[in-house]
Amino acid sequence: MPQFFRMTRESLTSDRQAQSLPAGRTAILTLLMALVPVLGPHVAHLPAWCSAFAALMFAWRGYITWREVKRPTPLPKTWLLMVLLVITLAATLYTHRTLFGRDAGVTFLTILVSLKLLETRTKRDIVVAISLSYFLILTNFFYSQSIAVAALMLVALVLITSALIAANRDADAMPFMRQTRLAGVVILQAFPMMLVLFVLFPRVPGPLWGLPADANAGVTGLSDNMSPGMITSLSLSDGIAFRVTFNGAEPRPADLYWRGPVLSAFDGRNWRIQLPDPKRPSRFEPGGATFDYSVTLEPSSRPWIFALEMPTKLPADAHLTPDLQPVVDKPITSRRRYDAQSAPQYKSVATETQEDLAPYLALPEGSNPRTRNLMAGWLFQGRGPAQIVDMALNYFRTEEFFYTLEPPLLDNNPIDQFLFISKRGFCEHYSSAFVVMMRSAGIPARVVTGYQGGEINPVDGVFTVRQSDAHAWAEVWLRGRGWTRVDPTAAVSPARISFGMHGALPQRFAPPLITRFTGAWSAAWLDRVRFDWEALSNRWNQLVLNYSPDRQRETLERLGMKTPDWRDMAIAMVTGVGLICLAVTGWMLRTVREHDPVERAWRAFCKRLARAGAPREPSEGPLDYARRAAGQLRTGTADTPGAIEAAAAAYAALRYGPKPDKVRVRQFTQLVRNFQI
Amino acid sequence: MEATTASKLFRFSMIYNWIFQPRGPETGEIFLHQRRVFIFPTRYGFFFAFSLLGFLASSINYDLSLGFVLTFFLGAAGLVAMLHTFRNQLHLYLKPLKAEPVFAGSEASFDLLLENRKGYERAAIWLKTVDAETVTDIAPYQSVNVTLTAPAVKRGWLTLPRITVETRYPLGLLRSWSYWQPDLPCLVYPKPAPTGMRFPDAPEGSGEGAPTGPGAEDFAGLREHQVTDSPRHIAWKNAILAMETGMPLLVKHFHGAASSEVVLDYDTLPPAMDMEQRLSLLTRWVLDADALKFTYALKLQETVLGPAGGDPQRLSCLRALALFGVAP
Repeated sequence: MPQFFRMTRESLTSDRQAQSLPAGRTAILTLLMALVPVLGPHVAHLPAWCSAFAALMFAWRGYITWREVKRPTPLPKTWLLMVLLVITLAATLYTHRTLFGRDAGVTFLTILVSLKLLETRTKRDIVVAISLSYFLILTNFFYSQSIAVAALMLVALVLITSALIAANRDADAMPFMRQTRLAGVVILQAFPMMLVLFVLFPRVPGPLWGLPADANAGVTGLSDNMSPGMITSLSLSDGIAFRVTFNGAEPRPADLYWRGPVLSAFDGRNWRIQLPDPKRPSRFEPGGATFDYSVTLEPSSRPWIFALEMPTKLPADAHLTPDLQPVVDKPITSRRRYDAQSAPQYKSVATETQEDLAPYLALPEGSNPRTRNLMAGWLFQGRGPAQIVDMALNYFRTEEFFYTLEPPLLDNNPIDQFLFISKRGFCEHYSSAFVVMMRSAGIPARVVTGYQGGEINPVDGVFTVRQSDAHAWAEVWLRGRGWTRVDPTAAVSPARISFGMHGALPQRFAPPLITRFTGAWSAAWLDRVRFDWEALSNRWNQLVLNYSPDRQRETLERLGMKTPDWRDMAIAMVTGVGLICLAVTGWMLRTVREHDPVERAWRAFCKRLARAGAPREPSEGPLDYARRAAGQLRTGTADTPGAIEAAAAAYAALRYGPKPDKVRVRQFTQLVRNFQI
Repeated sequence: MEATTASKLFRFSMIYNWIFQPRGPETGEIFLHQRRVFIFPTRYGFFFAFSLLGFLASSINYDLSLGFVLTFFLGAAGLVAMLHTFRNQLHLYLKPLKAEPVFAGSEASFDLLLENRKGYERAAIWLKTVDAETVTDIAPYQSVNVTLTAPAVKRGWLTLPRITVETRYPLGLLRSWSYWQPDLPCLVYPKPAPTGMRFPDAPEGSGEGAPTGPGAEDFAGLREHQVTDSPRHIAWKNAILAMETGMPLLVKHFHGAASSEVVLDYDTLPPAMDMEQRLSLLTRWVLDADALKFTYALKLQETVLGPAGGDPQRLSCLRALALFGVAP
């Protein structure tokens, strides 16, 4: 027992000694190189001072390491590093207002690695810096998990591992390329095991602890309110809102209204969600064809999902609000896939009482007087609600209204200003003005936001709906018909609905290169490349990024596991990893098992001499042994002693001489095989 | 039920013996087969595993698919590193070469040969004893000589303490090691006494007309230099050493009586000296006599060596002195 403990203790103290070796030059330079791809993507969201600080520290350390070859160059004094640490921590606190959370954490880690490099003296120090760098790889995934980032991080992983190998070359350094190739081999050999672990490691739905407030910061998308200019800003984003695959037929482009937040409360400027109370839901009856589809929704941090008007089936945790907005129980914090069914040719059913409809008529006191006057005039002419809707749409069509992404700023009474003065606007202006007009005329109306259209990828048939497809339209309540969709934007710019937003906008609003090529810009091969790339990205999202507990269960069931629980997965995982480990062991030790032919021939030769009566002493060298055996053996021909010594001399030459070539090895094995005794 | 501490210890020592199979000193070339190579995670290995738990928790919490990929890549790389570390040491050939005799009080050097008969490099192979350690790389199909030192405290045979052959390459997450005690004894001569002791008088009548020195008298030993001494009699061979070490300058001391040989006799030394002191003094005399190219005999009780001169005589005398009274 004490001996057993001593073994373990010895193992660990021995480590401590090894850790105090000086850190190798190659290891430091390799780590500096590895930190370029690790921190490169972070530059986009790190505070500028932090990127500059890290670059400066790396350059300093690189300079010291380079200069060290010629003359001893001391590392900066500890007090200086402490001062730098305090200053940068203060700057972090000042920039982020906290030291915790995602952004502040990444800034802090970057500072830590930069300063650690400047006090890296021993192997232990460099190993600490390497561990921090591995973690910095992980932090990149907080911001993006695209294919490009994944590829860059794979490069970083190999380079950091290469630095770790360099740190463990206790005797002599190895050329950078060979050391990096070895790191590549290690990662390549780890790949199959990683795959098994990835597929089979029982997934737990997160989060384990509260997500920091900034976990999904910067995610754009529709919100629970709408003010002039909000959707306009979304329209310039080429970010993806969701992707859709139709199982079977696809609806007409004009039916692609993806319903989102329904806004019915108006304060004169902003529209907000306001659920009617008492809650009498709007009703509809599905009619015509239904369409089944799966949606992969990007995280929005909002508790709602999108579905085609009108959804007839939704996932289990989703339901329709009384305003017919599909919502879910918890905010969407990670990419989510769900199946739904919709009937675009639905028929609304009018069951609402006057009381139920009151909230849809509310307008702030005294706001937008000119609009009210206009509507009062129309009412005075004795028009019915349906006629007033048509007149309003006609008004948009015949007056000089423009559909533009650069509407002028609107201040007080924005609806009046828009309708009578600027007459330039985007979908939110049209829908908002239209609903105010309707309410002024005593017609219940509400704003519906969501997305309209989408782009189909001919490569894999997937619809991509982007933030730039964000749209706002209106619903009016008509007696006998219930809630009816009216899209005032279509009156101004029919192309917006038929050809998508980019058919409707002047060329200079086409968002950045690659994401959109329209009209004369369009080149067939570029489109082709773009569609291929998007199809690949979509596969990547589906297979890798969206591997949730549900998807894991589906995948394993498809692989033949019946209702797998975590125990089955754990067993399969351990078995899989074990088998792969065995395979890699076999592959790696193959050189160990196949004895070198020279050695094998020599052993057979010695065995034969031993049988003839001259066994080899363990301490005897080949030449001494041959001399003794040649003198000792009395059997065989007159040539035998000479042959023994010749074989031994050849063996010694092959064994201890310069690296043998194949011809000489074959000569030797033949010589030994032909030896008779 | 009544498992005493002693029986527990016994059981564990059985386990220990079964795992490590202590072998004692081994002659000749040693082949590190699988049963001799052990492997265990290092401190960093434990730390690495622990930090991967942190990686995993972050990946679950933030739902980072690529975080899982990274965590599993690193975990799998740890397993792969185990194979690399093991293979780095497996099937290494170890061979004791030589250990030149040394005087007590100095460092003994043990030359060992590490041979790599495989087509891949073995890097960062450590050899450690309680006293010394060394690290080396071995290129494919090459061998490397390494030297381990151990302090030679006592005369007699010095065996190298058990060597631990170990490596952590390539990732430092695991340490593989083997134990090896080569049967490579180093002969340790007694520590020579300080210079300046007089040679003993040669026994009378033993002379047989040996050639006489330039002083027409017979050399009888060395004593400290006095100002009246003739420069001809200064022991110049010792003078350089004396000047470097600050020891007194010696002069050759001649006897009028004819004595052709020096006999260095253990028993004639003053009774106040103990065995080690006598052996130490005799060692000094043997070295002096050899330095002056004398013919001398060494009497260690019943063992008599010589009279003779030159290297063979010196070496056999020193060996006899080293092993006097040492159980064979």
